[in-house]
Amino acid sequence: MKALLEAPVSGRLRLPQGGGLRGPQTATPGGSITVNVGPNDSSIQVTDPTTQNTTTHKVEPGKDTTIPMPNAPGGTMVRVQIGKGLNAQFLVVELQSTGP
Amino acid sequence: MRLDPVYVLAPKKTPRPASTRRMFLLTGGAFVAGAAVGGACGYSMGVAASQPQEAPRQPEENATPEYEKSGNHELDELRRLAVKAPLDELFDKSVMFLTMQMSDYKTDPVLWYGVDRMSKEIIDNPDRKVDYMVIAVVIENIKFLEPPEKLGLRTMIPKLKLRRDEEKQRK
Repeated sequence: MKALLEAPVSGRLRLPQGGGLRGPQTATPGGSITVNVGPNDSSIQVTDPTTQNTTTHKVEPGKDTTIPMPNAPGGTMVRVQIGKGLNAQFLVVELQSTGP
Repeated sequence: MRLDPVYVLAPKKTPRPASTRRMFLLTGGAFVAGAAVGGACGYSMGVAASQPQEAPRQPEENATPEYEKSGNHELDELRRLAVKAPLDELFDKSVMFLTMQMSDYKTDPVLWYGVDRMSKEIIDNPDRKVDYMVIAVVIENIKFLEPPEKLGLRTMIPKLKLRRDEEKQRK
């Protein structure tokens, strides 16, 4: 199983790109991102911290899937999750506003 | 005059004394063993008596509680991370910890001690490499959930933001 945290050449710790969940680390508010989910997961949860709402999206495992991002302020860290509980895998996506 | 024989018991033979050399060795060995045991006991008692006695510890105002088992294995593990796990482990699992706090356990009081530990470590130890996104997630949990007032987590937000920006610059 891939280590939860990687230490790249600079020695700095990075957030995990879990073996079963891969995607970008930035997105635009109200936009969408494309993620790749491993073969054992058929749904993905997206949590908006500003409202604490979690939405669930069905995905095709092993394939690229586009999921919507909440329309939250720039700088918000959206939590993307596959699986449940202590074995879940996570991806944190920073919303970056493109407008002025 | 007739002399009748009188039978007298022969005197008991006095037991031969033990070999003087054997007795000497046994006695000497017992003395040495006793001296060794007594010396060790006396030394340890002296060391204990010479050390200053610690004053009874007063419970800290914000001391992390001994968490009770909730019966929910998942929550108990998160509580363990919050209160007992080494900081390295807590930071390793910080995204899981903070996300589950927000989505499933936002009212659990014990988990806030984990947020408190992370926040203090981030602020007080700039040598610890923490991804700026993790710091941002910590800030969001404090901002959008309801941490207990006594931990003063909201007052740490400005310093956490400074650390977040420092780490973002380094990236």
